[in-house]
Amino acid sequence: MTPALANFAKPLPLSAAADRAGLEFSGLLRQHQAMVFSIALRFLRDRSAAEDLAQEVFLQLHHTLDSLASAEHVTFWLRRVTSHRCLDAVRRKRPETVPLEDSPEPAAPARERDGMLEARLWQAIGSLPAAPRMIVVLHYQEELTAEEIAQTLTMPAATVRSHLRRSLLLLREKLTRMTESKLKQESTGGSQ
Amino acid sequence: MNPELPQQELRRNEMTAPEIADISLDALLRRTLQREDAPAGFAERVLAEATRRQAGASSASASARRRTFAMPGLRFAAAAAVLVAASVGVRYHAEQQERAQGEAARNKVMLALRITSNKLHQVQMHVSQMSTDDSTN
Amino acid sequence: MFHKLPLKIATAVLAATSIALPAGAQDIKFPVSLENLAAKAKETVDVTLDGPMLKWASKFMDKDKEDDAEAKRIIQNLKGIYVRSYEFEKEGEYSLSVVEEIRSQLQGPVWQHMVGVRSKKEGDNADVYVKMENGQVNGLVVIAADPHELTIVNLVGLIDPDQISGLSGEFGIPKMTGKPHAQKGK
Repeated sequence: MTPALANFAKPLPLSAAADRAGLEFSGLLRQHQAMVFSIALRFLRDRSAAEDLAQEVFLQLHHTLDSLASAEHVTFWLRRVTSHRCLDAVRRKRPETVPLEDSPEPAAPARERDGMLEARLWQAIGSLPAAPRMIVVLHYQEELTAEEIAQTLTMPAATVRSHLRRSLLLLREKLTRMTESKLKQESTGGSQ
Repeated sequence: MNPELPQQELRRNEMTAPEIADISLDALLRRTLQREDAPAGFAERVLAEATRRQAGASSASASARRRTFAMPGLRFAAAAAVLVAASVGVRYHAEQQERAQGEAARNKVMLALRITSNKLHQVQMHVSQMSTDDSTN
Repeated sequence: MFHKLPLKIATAVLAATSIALPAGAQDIKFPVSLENLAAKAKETVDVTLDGPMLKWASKFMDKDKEDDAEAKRIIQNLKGIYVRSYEFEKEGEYSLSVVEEIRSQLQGPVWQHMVGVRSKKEGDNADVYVKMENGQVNGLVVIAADPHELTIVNLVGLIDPDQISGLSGEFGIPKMTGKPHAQKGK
């Protein structure tokens, strides 16, 4: 089977039952809550929706924990389930993309200390289509490689790389355009 | 996780468009997309909900079990069911193999449709980019 | 045990069919030079599924899962899905003559060139062709060629026109709303 197909149907790793004893739910919850919540928040851009989604992911983990064999497996499982639930949530709310100019300000501002440039980048990321947006989040927040993202999202690594390449081009272009139009507005406002 | 940023990024609020082109988009993305803590009390809320759901599920299944095994004769039926289950064990193995082949075919279909979908989407992105360029020129 | 036999025979026949007739209902013939690219490629995807195989696969799709249900709907009238995708480490590892060889098979009156994209900046080329027969879309070919990747997709069979735009809207990707014949250098 080719690597891409192998990724597509890769069985989840199994390890010794001894590992299982170390998988205690409340510990895992505390360890991974920031990861799960942040993936959902960066993708959905809605703090309350992200919290709801993260809660459902952990409740599913609670139900499934017995079938997970190692700590690595739990991390992989959490990223995978969170990503798929995020994509499903957006799919149910179609149409999901709006022209950048019309896109609303993020419901959850990136962080208070963020500058204007980061806020614009945050807005530009939000305007990306669902799959490329999730790939950008997984790559930059979780620092996953294209191959790891491919496994997480069940898509070929080549597709991940191509989405990432295009998304970066688009983000740079949008960021430049947004800044130019902001500067133009400021100079017009300033001259009046 | 968060590499040192070039000095010019520190004054990002004053930057002009050409300057933006020079900064590392990579570093900016890493900083913008850092993990954020879950809201206060999140873990406690999840634990409480998990306990509540588990309690609900186990009391429902325990009462179902009590009702079932209280009925005379059902214990024998259950034992017979176990025997039948054992007798179909070999058949189960063959079915599993067939299922695995079917799942592999399904996975191939999904992969093919994802690739098709992705390529059509890329064409769409190009076309919309061209339309944007046309309208700005 | 006996009642399992027909299923086993069916499985064997399906498997044999897919091996013996790789280009069964295929609209286009993949040239040998295309298939040979697997040896040079860093990553290869090779999907060859004919009608019976598609029907068999659809039995294993879960109607409660959104992606599965959509896939089942898309493939129900298809006679085949053929995909070749090659990703290369370096640029220039394949010749554009391979692409031309495929394009030349799509010159007939039944084929309509729906969209063509030529991007000089990124070196990307993409074409979407549909096969029109009796006022119905009876096939789809996508050719996507960029410096590091070459992908050819051929869906054979009746495709609802909504599905062509809808297909780009499935699997977490927004719908396709591009203008036809948007061929242009960038």
